[in-house]
Amino acid sequence: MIIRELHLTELITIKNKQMKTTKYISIALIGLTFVACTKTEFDDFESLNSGTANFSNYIAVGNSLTQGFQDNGLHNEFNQQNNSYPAILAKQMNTNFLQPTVLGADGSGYLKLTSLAPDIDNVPAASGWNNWDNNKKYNNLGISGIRLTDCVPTNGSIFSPTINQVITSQNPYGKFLDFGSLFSPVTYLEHVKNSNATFYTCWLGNNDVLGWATSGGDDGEINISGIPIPIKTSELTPVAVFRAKYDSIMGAFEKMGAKGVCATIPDVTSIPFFNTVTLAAIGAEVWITEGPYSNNPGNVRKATPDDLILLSTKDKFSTTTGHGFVQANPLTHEEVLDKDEVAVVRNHTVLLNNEIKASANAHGAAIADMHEYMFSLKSGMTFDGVAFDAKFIEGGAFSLDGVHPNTRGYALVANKFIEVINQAYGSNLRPVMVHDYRGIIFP
Amino acid sequence: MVVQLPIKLKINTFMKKLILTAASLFPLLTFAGGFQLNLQGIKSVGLGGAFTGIGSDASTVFFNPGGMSNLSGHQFSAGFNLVTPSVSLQTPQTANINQTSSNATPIHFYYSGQITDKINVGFLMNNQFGSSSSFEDNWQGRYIIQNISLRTFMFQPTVSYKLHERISVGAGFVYSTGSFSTEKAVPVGSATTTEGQAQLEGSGSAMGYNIGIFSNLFSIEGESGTTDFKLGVNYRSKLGIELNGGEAKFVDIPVSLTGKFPSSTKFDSKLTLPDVFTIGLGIKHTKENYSVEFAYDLNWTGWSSYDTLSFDFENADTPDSKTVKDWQNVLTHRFGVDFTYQQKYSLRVGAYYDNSPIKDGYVSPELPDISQLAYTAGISYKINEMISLDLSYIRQNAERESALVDAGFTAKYKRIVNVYGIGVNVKFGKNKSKEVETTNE
Repeated sequence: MIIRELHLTELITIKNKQMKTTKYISIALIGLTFVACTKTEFDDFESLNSGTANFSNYIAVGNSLTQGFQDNGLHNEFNQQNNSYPAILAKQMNTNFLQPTVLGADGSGYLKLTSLAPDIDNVPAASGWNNWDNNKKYNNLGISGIRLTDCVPTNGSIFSPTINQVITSQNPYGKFLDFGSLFSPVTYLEHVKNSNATFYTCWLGNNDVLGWATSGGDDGEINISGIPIPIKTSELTPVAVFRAKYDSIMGAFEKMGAKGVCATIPDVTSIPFFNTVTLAAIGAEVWITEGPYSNNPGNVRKATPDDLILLSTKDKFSTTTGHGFVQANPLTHEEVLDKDEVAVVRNHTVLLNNEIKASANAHGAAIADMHEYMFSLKSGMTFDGVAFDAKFIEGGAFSLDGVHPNTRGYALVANKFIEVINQAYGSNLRPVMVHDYRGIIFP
Repeated sequence: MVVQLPIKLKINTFMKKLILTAASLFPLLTFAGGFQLNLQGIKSVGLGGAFTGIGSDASTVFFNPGGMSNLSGHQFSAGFNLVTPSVSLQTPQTANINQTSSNATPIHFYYSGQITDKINVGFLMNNQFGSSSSFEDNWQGRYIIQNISLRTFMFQPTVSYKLHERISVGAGFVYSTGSFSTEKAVPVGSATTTEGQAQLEGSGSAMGYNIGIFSNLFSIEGESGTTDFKLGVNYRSKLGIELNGGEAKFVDIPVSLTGKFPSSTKFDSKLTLPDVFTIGLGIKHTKENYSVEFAYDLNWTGWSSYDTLSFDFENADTPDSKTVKDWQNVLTHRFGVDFTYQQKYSLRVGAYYDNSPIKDGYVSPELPDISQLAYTAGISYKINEMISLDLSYIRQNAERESALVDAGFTAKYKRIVNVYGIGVNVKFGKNKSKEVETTNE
């Protein structure tokens, strides 16, 4: 009996010990679970989905903005051209993208900031920068300086194909495309038709207003021997002509089954080129000449804050001759965009944008409203802690020519396109981090 | 050929813009309702941070100086917490960004000594506010913040007086020191540098006070035991820490901009830690072998006094920055229950609901403050009549999606914080009270 009792007591003790051990183990396990539960990581994004679009052959059509032009040149010493907005887009689309990269980092030469006065230096071009192989199939068809009107022949104008050929083949930035010869021209439209695009961005039209504005409201008439009529190199492209040519480009893409985005023309008077040499900055009376499209052509009067003095006019003022400062020696009409001319170009831009939107809608393309985006930028935008606006140098988004964005600005542009593409085609392209791209390079 | 301009264009507003954006987002240091986990007493932590109406150990010097009158003889409490945060972010561009913040280790030390049957004196040293966050240097929000750290020490000589057997009052003078440092990137690049960095470091001190009233309201004697009802009220004043003569350094700045962002200059700033007003209840039911105590505290933290944060730089060309914070005063609810067996073993569970003082649109990435319910637990073991040991644990787990609108930054946040606390209490000396206190020990 005693043995039995002992046995029982022992059993109970063992059981208690076991229970204690189990208890301690459970406490330890619960403790471990708590400690282990510190996982806060988010899952990776879902993989790239192009929605109803097909990014396998992305073709970019446009001008300097599309080619990656900045600081008054096409250059690549800090990957500026490599980070044109189409190249940024193509990277997000994970698709191959061939650009006519400048042969020599200094490219066509560019402006460089050498002091904050500001002093701006001109870096010369790299020799042979544009000796491109024009047998290659490039994805980026942007050509700096090109106007829509040069890309497609004008209906009913017999000289138009030849004029276009002269203009496009003489353009150093377009040497990666073969434009044929004077009497056997190949148009830009032809190249678009041969592109086999599955997806496109089209940002043509800027130079159809910009050239007129940056030459102070001038048509830029020149005479070329062999052509009996004068060529207006910077005329505001007439609205009907613009629409017909835009439709041709859109029609070509639609025929090959490509989907894409059309971008509207930003208000050119919002760029730093027109908003830096202000009366306040000059601090003196300024005299100007009104231009042929102003209300009083040829009239000489004092400038008001509504008259926009071009950035390129800053070094044309003279205290010796009094040029720009005295009534007898006013700024020429090409040196200023007076307030009437400002109204003309703003209005013309709106008219052309209406045609772009109508043409895009008629051909099933999405619309990136860069006209509106420019106004947002002008009033100031902040990304990841850094503020941007449309001011010269300090604004952070424009390059030293006061017209084109810098690489960081092009990243903003790319993000805007991405937003539009995702919305229109149900894709999930990721936006890029704007600050991974260079802004103004300070001395 | 350099193009010289006869007209000098003014770019002097440039830096204003840059540094305004750069410096204006000098981060929001949040404390209560944020990173501050109210860790000033290990027993309190286990009770969801409620202690104003409890007053059962020397930590009452902080929570409610009036409660010192409950403590007989000489009592010491010392404790330490290990705060282990884990924070991850997701932005539209990046799937996952982990904060690299280090753990924080706030400490506290309290003393309460009974001088006469009516008077107690006390002293505390603790870290009431603190924050430490860091990210990889090249992360997406580096122009908002890279690293920030704040550490404060408070010292409080205190006295309490038993007005009446049921009411006592206490008051302490608070002297605090704070040291602050932060780093963030500056968005200017040159041919040889992609961006610069601002490094700020400052320290200062402030004075304030801590007053409290403690009341053993009434007790109900019944068959099942005694139930004591206690009430406490506490107010801790604002502490405006002047960070004068702080050091500011700018590195990797393009030569042309070193006038605006010099390699070294000084700055002045002021960091205002908010005032806190608390009402606390304690209900303790004691039977032969065990007791159960409920604690509830309601804190009101005056964050709206933190309305602007400005940095004035000594270098004239470095633009001073001023940011509007627009923080709100917030309420925090704290609740806990303590089970004590044979006056020797205690188990505590609690919870608190923290309201964030930061509205949507003002959430800064180094401290994604989130209104949330957090859970606490604690245990105590009385080794002998002199020494007892406390352990505590807090678990916070919350998510938030919000933007810092001024910075154009938006992210989703996941934040888990585990806090482990340990403390020791020592008491000795004779009880000088005319009546023997049985309820609070």
